[in-house]
Amino acid sequence: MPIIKNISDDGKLVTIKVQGIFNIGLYQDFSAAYKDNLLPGTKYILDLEETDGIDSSALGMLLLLRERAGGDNANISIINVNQSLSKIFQVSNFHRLFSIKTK
Amino acid sequence: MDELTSLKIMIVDDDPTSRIILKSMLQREKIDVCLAFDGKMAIKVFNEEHPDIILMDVLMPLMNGYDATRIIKESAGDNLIPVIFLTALTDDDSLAKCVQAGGDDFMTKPYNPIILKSKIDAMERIRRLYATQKKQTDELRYYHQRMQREHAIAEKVYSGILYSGFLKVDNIKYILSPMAIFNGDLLLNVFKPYGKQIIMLGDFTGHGLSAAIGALPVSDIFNTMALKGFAINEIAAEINTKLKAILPTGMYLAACIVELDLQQERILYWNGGIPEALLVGKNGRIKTTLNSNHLPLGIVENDKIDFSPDILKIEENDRIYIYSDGIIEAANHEGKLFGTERLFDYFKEGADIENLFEDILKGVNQFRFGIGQSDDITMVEFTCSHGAASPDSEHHKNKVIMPENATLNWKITMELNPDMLRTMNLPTFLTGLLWATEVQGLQQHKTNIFIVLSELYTNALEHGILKLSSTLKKSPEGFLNYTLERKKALTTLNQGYIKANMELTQTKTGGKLTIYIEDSGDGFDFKKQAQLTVNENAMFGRGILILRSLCSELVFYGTGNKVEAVYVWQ
Repeated sequence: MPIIKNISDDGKLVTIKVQGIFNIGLYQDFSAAYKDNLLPGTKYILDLEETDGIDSSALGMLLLLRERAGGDNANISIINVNQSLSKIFQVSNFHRLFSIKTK
Repeated sequence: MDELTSLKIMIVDDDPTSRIILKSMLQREKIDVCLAFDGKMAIKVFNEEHPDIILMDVLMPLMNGYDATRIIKESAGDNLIPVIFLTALTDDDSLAKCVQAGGDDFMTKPYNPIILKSKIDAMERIRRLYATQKKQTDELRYYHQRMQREHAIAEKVYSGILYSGFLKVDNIKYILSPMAIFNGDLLLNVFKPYGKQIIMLGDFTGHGLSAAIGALPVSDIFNTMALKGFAINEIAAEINTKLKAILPTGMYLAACIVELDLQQERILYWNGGIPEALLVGKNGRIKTTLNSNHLPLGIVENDKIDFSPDILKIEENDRIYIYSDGIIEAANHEGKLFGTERLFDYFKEGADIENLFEDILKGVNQFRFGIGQSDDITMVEFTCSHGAASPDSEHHKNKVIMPENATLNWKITMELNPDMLRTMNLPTFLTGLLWATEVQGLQQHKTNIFIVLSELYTNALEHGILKLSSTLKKSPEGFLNYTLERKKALTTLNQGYIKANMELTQTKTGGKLTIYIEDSGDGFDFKKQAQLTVNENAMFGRGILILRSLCSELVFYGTGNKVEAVYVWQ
C-alpha cells in the first residue's frame, strides 16, 4: 500500500506517508486517508521520506487537502522532503501555502 | 451469452446410444441440448444453434472430432467455446491430439455421470469468466478508441485555432506538440502596442482533456488584453481571477510571462511555477535565470499574489529560453531524468547559438532514445529582436474589420488635477487609447496626432497652468533654465486643472478627431498671436504654427485658455 496513514487517539493528528511515486494514481487512496478526519483543528503531517517522485497532479491533490482542511487555516506540514522534491515545491512556490521541511 | 439464457450443450457422437444417454443426463440438469451425428454436421449445427459447450466424440464418419474441433474453434474466434472430448481411446498419444486440436478437456468412455457433470460445471465457470473479461476488454477497447478519436478532433481544434498561427514569428522558435497541448501546455505570443512583444508559456496541472480545457479562456484573456496594451500584472491578475473562478481546487496554471521592450533594452517577466527560464547572451552563456517567485495562477485570490513583474536589462539579440517541466523530466530507459544540469551544459562560451534550440531538442530525443518521441516537451526560444510575423500568421488576420457603413465613435472627457498633472502624460495616454481601439487607417497618422496632442497639452500645462514664459527659451542656455523652472513649478503646483475632451468620429473612408483642451490659466492674446509672423530662428512660438499645419481647424476660445483642434484623415 503506497499510502500509510496514522491517526492519533484523539483524532487531531493525521500522519500520511507516501511511498514511491506520488501522482494521480494515488488519488483515491490519498483522499481516503484524510476524508474521515477533517474536523477543525486537525493537524496533518505528510511524510515524504519514502517518496521517490511527485508530479503536478499530486501538487493538485495537496491543494485539495488544504482546501478541505480549512484553506488558509489548514495546518499541514510536509516533512522529510528531499532535495529534488524540494525543488519542485520551490518552483511552484508551495512554501507559501504549506509548511515544508527538508531533510 | 449472458447469465439469463440457460446453458446449451451440443453432443457430437455417431453412436445413437451414447447420444441418448448423454442427452437424458444433461436434460435432467435442465441443460438445453442439440445433437450432431458426425464432424461435418457438428459444424453446421454449431453455426445454427450457437451452443456454449461441446461434447465431442473422436472417431466419426465423414469428419472426425479433431478436424471438426479445429474448424469450430477457428470460427469461434475470440469467444471461448469449451470442447470436451469423449473417447474410448485411452493412449497418451490420442489424448495429446485432443488438446492439440483445441480440446479443453477429455473424458474416457464409459462415462461417469458425476465426473462428467463436474467437468461441465468447471468448463461453464471458465467460460463465464472468460466471457465477462472479454466483454470488459471490448468495452475498454471501445472507450480507448473513442477517446483517441475525440482527442484527434480536439487536437485539431486546439492546434488550429489557438496556437500555431500566432507563433509564426521570426524571433521565436518553439516546440509544442499536440500531445503537449493535451498535457495542458500552451504558448502564446502577441505584439503589443508601441512595438512591445509579449509571450506566455503555461502549463496546467494534470493531463488530458481536462487540463487542456482551461487553455481556452486563458488564451482569450491573454490575446485580448495584450493587444489592447494591458500590462503583465493586469493580464496575470485577470487570468488568475478567471481560473480561480472556473477551475476545481487542485487544478492550476503554472505560467511564465515575458514582455520584451527593445526600445528600453529590457524585459519584464512574471514567473509562477515554471522552471527557471534562461536569459542567454550572444556568446551562448547564461546571463541570469528568470526564477519562479510566485504561486501558479488559479490557486489563491488576487490579493494574495504579487503580480508586479521583475525587470531585467537585456541587449539586442540576447535569447530567452522558457520550458515546461517536460524537458527536465524527460526520462531515459534507465529512468534517469534529463535534468537541469544536462540542459544548462548546452549554454557555454562558443556554443553554436544559432542552432542551440535544435541541438537541445536533439539532445533530449537522443537521451530518451527508444522511450518515444518528445511528445510532451514544450520549449520556446525568444530572441530579443524586432520580431516580424510571417505573412500567413494569424497576426495579420487580427485587425478589426469595420462592417460596411458602420461607425465606431467615442468620446472621452477628463479633468486632471495637480497630482494627475505631475504623474500622468496625457498625450501618451490618449494616443495609447486610440491605438488600443485599433481605429482603421489611423496608424500612419499616429505621429501627427501625438504631436497635436503634445503641443496642445504642453501649451496648456506650461504656459496656462505653470505660467512659464516662452521668452525664457530665447537662448540655448535659456532652454535648460526653462526645463528646470518647469520641473520646479510642477513639483510645487497645488491648484489648477486641465480639462480634455477627445471625440472620435469614424466614417467608411476615414475619420475625424476633435480635441478640446481647457486650462485654468489666464490664457493669452490669441488674436494678436494669429497676426504675428514668426521668425524662423525663434526658439518659441512654433507650437501654434505646427498645430495650424497639421490640423484642419484650430480655434481658440475664452481668454485663450480654451482650444479646439480638429484632425481629419481619409
